[in-house]
Amino acid sequence: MKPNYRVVEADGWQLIETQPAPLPKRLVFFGAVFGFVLAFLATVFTPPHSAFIGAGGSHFLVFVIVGVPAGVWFFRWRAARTRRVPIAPFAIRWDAIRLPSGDIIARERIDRLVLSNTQQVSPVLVGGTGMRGATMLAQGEARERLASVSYAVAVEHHGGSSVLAAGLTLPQANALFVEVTRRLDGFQA
Amino acid sequence: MKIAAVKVAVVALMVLLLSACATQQIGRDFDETQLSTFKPHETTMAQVITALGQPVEREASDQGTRLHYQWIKSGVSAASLIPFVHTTDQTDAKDAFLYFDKEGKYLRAETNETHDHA
Repeated sequence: MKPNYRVVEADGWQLIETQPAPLPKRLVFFGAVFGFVLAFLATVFTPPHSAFIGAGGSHFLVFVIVGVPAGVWFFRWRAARTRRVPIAPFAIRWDAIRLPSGDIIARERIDRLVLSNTQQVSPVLVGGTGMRGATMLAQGEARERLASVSYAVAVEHHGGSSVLAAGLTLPQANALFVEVTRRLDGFQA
Repeated sequence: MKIAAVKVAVVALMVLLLSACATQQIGRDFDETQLSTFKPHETTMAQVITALGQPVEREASDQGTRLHYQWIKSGVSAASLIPFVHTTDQTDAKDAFLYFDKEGKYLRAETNETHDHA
């Protein structure tokens, strides 16, 4: 299996660069369907001879051309926001962690290292009938797909939490967690 | 002819979506019967991970490590999407928290299992 992170030695620090997992194709597909549905609704609620498109113009086609990419973009934007992927790599030494922000946390100030999912992962009974049920199913499916690539490794310090790396699959996050605990003094890998 | 083809395509798409969405799973299934085979102060974390797989959550501190295994399965019949059709949906969830000392030796486990039917 291809490693999901790269360790580079620099100035006494081990810089750990991670590669976030790509978004599942099904999630992007849901974005396209969402845009398609919006295009359909926009067509239904647009007057037949609206000056917006012009008389005789194909409203639906124009709305689909705009709506589908917009739906895909919206789903990608929402996923990026909730996955909380840091914009810079973090670095580690036996006695400290340098956060993606550049702040250095001394080992004695580190309370815990945490591997978790950045999505809300809790039991939800999916049910209902008709459109409401179908919407709940689609939302649950999208949430499940997004959660599979939303694992993060964080460090708790000074009563707060800082994400070291995120947007990972479960095997990727577990490998990175072991890597960090192995390099940091006093933690059991 | 074209309209008929579009109708078939739309119906096929809906069936595809519904069949794909009928069951949802969060986390990974694990064999909870393995927990009774772990011996406190003897079994190592590596042995536990070999037996149960990778946990969905981990926490490490000066006191030791906690592994969290979780599996949630929510099943819903596609027929429930049809108005006025009565069907049974269910959600099964199980959690296990395993605690290890500073040396990575197993200490104890806490488990929770729920079955909801609606």
